[in-house]
Amino acid sequence: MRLVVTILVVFAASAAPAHAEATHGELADRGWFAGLNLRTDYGSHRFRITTGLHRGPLAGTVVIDPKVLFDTRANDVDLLTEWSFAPGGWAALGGYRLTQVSIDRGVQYHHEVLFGITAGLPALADRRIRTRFGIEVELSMARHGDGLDTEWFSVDSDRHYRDLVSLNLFLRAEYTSPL
Amino acid sequence: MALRARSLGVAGALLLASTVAHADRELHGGIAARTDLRTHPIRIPFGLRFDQVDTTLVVDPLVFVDGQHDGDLTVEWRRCSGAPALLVGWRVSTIGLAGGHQWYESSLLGATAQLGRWSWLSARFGAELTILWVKHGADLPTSWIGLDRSIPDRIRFGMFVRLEYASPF
Repeated sequence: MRLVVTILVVFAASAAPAHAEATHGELADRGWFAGLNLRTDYGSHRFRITTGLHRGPLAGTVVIDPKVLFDTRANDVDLLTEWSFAPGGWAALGGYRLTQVSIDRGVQYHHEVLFGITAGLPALADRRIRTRFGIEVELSMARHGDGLDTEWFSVDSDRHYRDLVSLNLFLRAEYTSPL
Repeated sequence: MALRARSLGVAGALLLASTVAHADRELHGGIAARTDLRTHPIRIPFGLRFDQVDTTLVVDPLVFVDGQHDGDLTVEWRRCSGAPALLVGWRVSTIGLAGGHQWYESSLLGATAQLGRWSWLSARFGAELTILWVKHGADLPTSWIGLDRSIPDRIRFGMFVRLEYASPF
């Protein structure tokens, strides 16, 4: 396991994306960013808003769901942390997602753990806007609420495994600026 | 023993991580993965790049599992080696039905960008807009795109990642 992690880390640290120049905000020691998180699968709503801060290689991001304004019972919120191997390059991602699902009698809550990687794509607008690709594994650790049985993550059966684990791709486009 | 295996792993990774000059002509093939439901999640792309123009055929091995095939023919143009590329293409999906095979014909328009390159291994990200123009076959009425309620189902946005072996020739 440690060998695999070592190889992945060396890969990620050494493979700078060809034309993903770091933005001015990413190159600064401290910066902030805000923009859009887009996806095409069903891990969460497709258009969400990101905002966050970075200090050195460490970044913290909150992803909020504007759709909650139209349906207060449906919401996907993420808290993410990333460790960048190089400004504008690959990063390791970990995080937590709270999903509120609107069902007939009210709201069910899903608590999910996220981990994955992100990578830089070309910068836009004179290196003020960054675009990033991400791939995440989502583990649904607990589902509760609305009078239904609480369901915990389990690998007891194929059904548990398939329903509670998903792989998702996403794209981020964010304005970045030094602090 | 563990230290030796780890050292070998690091050495292998560094060897793969060593950069190579981008060739004018390249042969590539590998895996295209996606998480949306427009095609099968894993397909096999292979193609040729001549300077700025890259032509790729994507075939679908999962046809042997469920009888549905999603095949793409794409052309990508990039300003220079390693730069983001403009993608255009055509997708033909076939689905086995009781009356035979139904065919879905879609155009593709999008962009790809290189995520990283480790010697002969290349990783690319792509985003595409798919327009389903016509469905036909299987003794069902031919259905063309139109300004009706079905149009949101016919225009979709997709993302994919390609991991490919790429070699000059």
